[in-house]
Amino acid sequence: MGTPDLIKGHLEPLLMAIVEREPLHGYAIIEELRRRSRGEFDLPEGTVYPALHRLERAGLLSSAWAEGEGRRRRIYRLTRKGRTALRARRNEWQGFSRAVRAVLEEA
Amino acid sequence: MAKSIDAYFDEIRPDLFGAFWMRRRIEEELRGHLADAVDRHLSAGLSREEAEERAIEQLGSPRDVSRAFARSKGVGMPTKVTRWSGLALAVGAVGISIANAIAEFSWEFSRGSYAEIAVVFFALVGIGLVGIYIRGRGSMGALGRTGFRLVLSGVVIAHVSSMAWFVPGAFAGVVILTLGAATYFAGLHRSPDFPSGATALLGAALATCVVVGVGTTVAGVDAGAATAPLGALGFGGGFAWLGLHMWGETAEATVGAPPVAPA
Repeated sequence: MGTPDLIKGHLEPLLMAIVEREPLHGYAIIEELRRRSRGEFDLPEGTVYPALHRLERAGLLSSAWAEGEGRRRRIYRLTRKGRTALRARRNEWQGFSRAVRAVLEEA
Repeated sequence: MAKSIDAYFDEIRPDLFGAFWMRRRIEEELRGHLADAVDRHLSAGLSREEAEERAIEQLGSPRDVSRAFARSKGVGMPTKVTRWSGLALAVGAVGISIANAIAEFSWEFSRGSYAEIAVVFFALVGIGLVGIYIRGRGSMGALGRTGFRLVLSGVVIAHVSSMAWFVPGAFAGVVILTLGAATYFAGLHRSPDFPSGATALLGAALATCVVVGVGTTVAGVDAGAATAPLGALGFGGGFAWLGLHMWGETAEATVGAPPVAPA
């Protein structure tokens, strides 16, 4: 199973984590995802925007147009509801990864 | 140069699903993304042509991107509704074909009996056609969606005109219905969600029935005997194939799943 397949169920919390610190536009989010994963999460970029839109529809992100460097960009920021959801996903993930690591390392 | 990016949007635009303002927003966002990506590749030393090509390649094909947007809204996903309507379509299509063939070739089987039996199967096919639309509306593109609307308009115009004994209206309805069906089948054929063999069979059946129907009418020959078996084989087979395909689909767990809700 390749990285894009493995990441499918985790893309949304990853995107929320990226905009947690500062609001960013789509391209910057993708770049940041690539940078923080040290190139491991090199996704088809077109799949990121639908995920951002889905998060926005769920009220976990909000977005607005902003002008910068002569270009209009849609900037995404984490909402309060998004922060709560991200915290919950982090806790869930930490428990899950601890358990997986424990099983794999014992083998 | 800039033409390739414009060509990309020419291709993706008809396939984007949703309200006009949302499609505008998606296009503007993707254009901004490509402009940023091109700048980055240019600064890495690529020529403009290579930079645009690379930026488009990394974004994904128009079909994949438009499909991802549709699926992010849960559009074009297999669901219980699409599965059961698929089964209804298959049963209805086979039922109509059998009833049609019997009515055409059996002297004992009156038109009245045919109508009584076939109406149930037509209802099942109707349910199935709505299911096809729900299942494929995220991937059939503007072509398929326009075709579906034309089919509906054609059916309404033909039916109302027939009830009012208005022959030109009924004829216009049938023409609109036929054009709509051709457009609809073309849209379905482009969609990766349906078996292309089934949609090709439907298209071939429609084309054959139109040619044979028009030909025999012009020649003054009864068209029923020629078109009935063709219709039974082509439409019955094509719709049954589509229906069974939809019935066999399972809901995808990850793609397009709703985002995580706060605990």
